[in-house]
Amino acid sequence: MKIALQVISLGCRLFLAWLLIYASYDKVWEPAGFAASMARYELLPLWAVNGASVLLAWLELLVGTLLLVGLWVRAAALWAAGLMALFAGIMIYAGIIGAGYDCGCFPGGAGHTAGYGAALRDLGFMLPALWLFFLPSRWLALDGLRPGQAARLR
Amino acid sequence: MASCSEFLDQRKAGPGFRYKPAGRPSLPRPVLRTTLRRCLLILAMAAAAGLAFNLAAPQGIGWLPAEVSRPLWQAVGLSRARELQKAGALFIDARDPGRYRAGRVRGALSLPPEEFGRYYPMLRAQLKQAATLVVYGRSRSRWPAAWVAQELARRGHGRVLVLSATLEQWRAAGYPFKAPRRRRRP
Repeated sequence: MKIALQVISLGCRLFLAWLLIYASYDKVWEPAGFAASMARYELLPLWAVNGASVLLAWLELLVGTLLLVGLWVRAAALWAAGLMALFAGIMIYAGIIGAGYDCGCFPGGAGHTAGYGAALRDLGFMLPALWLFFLPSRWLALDGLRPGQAARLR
Repeated sequence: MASCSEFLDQRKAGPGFRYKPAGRPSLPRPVLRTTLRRCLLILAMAAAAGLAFNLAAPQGIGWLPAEVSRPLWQAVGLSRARELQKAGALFIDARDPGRYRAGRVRGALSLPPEEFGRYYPMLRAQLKQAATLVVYGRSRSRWPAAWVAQELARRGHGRVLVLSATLEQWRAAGYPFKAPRRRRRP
């Protein structure tokens, strides 16, 4: 049973790491494009768009990297859950205003329209993050290499 | 009832007890404290990395978009915009084409940022004829109107203004508005 839980935790961690790194590398490398995607929602005043988009893109990348190497897994999982909740909220707003444009979530943008469907997808991505918050994996993780940390995670 | 008996059982432990409901997943306080501290550290690291990258990389963006830090347009109020329309100003709708079709300022042309490269060459001659251009968007956040206005001003169009009111306010004021045609049922 314990092994099964560890396997599920490892799967959740690697999946979330892949998802966040895949979603963020383009936003980090082309900040102007992501800032334009964020501005399109018209949720933030114009003076706040650039700063918020840069912070969000780097937060995604950093959280994804921490999950990949297995360092500070619980904190990274909490951030991942928070980010997914934020994205789901924005997608619900997009659904309410009837936005038919690309959500700006992934590179390329094909087939990812902002709206209720995208909100459901983001809420689904929250589940592995919440799992990891309560049961962070020690397998293939830097956290597991430190004995004190491993004891805390148990 | 279960929580009542739990409360009584825990009370037997002696004075100064703190009731803790059973059956709910909870993490020890030191673990939560460490996790929250690390969350703040992650946020600070992301902010520092984003700042450093945007200062160093050639594709980095500034704190403010150019249409805010160095605006080439001016804001215009509702009544003044109406006066300008009467005097021959051309209105530009910077919203999505779908919203444009659903209702717009009468006589406005559609020029959304996403289609700017495609639509602008077709509209250039018409835009050049107008002495004043008034751009409007969906909300008061002034995007996408400010972006479109900046691009038009950069391309040498005389006087470019951004409407500082929403389309709903324009309509509520009773100014010329083009609503979509209703289809007659056969």
